[in-house]
Amino acid sequence: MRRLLLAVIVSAVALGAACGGSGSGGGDDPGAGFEVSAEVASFDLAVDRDERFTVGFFAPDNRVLAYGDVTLRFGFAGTADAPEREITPGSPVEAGFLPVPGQDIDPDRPGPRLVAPSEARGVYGADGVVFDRPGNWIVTAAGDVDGEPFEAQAAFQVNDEPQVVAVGDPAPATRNPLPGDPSVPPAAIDSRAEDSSVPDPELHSTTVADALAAGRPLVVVASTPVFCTSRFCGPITDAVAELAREYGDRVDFVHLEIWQDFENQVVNPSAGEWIFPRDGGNAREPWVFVVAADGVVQARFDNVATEPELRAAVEAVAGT
Amino acid sequence: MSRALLAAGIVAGLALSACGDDGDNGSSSGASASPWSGTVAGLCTAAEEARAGDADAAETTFFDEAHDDLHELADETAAADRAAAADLLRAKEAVESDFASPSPALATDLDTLVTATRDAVGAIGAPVPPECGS
Repeated sequence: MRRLLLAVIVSAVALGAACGGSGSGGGDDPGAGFEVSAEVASFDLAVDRDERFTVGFFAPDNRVLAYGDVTLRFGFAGTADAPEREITPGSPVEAGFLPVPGQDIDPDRPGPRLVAPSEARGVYGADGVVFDRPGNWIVTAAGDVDGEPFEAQAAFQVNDEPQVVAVGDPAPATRNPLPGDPSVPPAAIDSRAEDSSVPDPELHSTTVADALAAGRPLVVVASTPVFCTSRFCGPITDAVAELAREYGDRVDFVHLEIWQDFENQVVNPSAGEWIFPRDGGNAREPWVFVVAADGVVQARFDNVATEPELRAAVEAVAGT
Repeated sequence: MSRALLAAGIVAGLALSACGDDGDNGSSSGASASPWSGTVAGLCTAAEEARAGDADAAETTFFDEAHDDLHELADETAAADRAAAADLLRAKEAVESDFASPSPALATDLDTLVTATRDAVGAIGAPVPPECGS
């Protein structure tokens, strides 16, 4: 039974659907407490690297888990060809609440708590997570909500190598189109653009290639403000634009719109250079990449990045 | 709950939903009810609140009763009808912009979002929820 179960797990993960999960509160009493489901928010996890792992939690009544910390344990589930007979959870890792940008909340409020999405939305994140084997993994999250324990699990995949531009990689010398280019519709530069007006001009004043050639530190946000379909979507482009207004004298900032043509599924080549997976899989967004003056990627954030995280990463390269 | 049962739940969830759900927010009943009825009803409520001048209430209703469902609907619609998905996401972004920078167009933009949501539901072949007020 267990072998079959694990084989099915691995098969499901191999189908590429490795992001959902389930769980419940009330410890071992299935009739008690509350239910939460887990959804892994990380896009690109690779073996033997310090990874930033993020996961969100949702109740059936639309409430979300917010604030405080949860404990994560990671277990290797094997591969499609060689599923593990038993999944052994590893050492506990504390993961803190990371609010989606643009919310007026105090992320340090006690928790975790189940709250309405209008109060707080976000994920839980841990830095420096190392996966020692490629393949299929299970995260088991646990915590207490109002004194009541819960546990939730979700499956995800760890690859041999990063599938998109990663920390330590040279930044692609992208020649992204700029406003005013007659060959490019404004909406292909920012999906919010109407007529000839492209918002956030501070994100569209230079190309990545020119910033690299000038030896300037650089922040690249690959996102589509209008067409994002992730449930964790937030105004990350706005958050980066805020930083651009503050650090623009020392750091260049570039927004790469994902879609050249959403309706016809044409991805902007300039964004594709940063986010197309090397294994040919589907691109996911948003991403933020922080590049030092030497042109090497120093930090990257997938899906959800908080304002403090982004600010710290920008500060780290601003003087390089 | 045993680890094996939890794992079984994960498998069932992954196999059946491929990381999404069916949009059922628990508000529907009966064989012909649309799983997206609660989403549209929430948007209708938000539009009414906006028309009454209470943008804060509209924002709360939007995020609590519709926002996540709209992302799921957009994801499903994008696989079936890209134009309908585009209309839905444009309408959603307009509403979110109105919340970020208060706009007198909020109620109208919510009405547009109701229409785009119903169109998207139709595009994926699900029963279309009734219009606001019906």
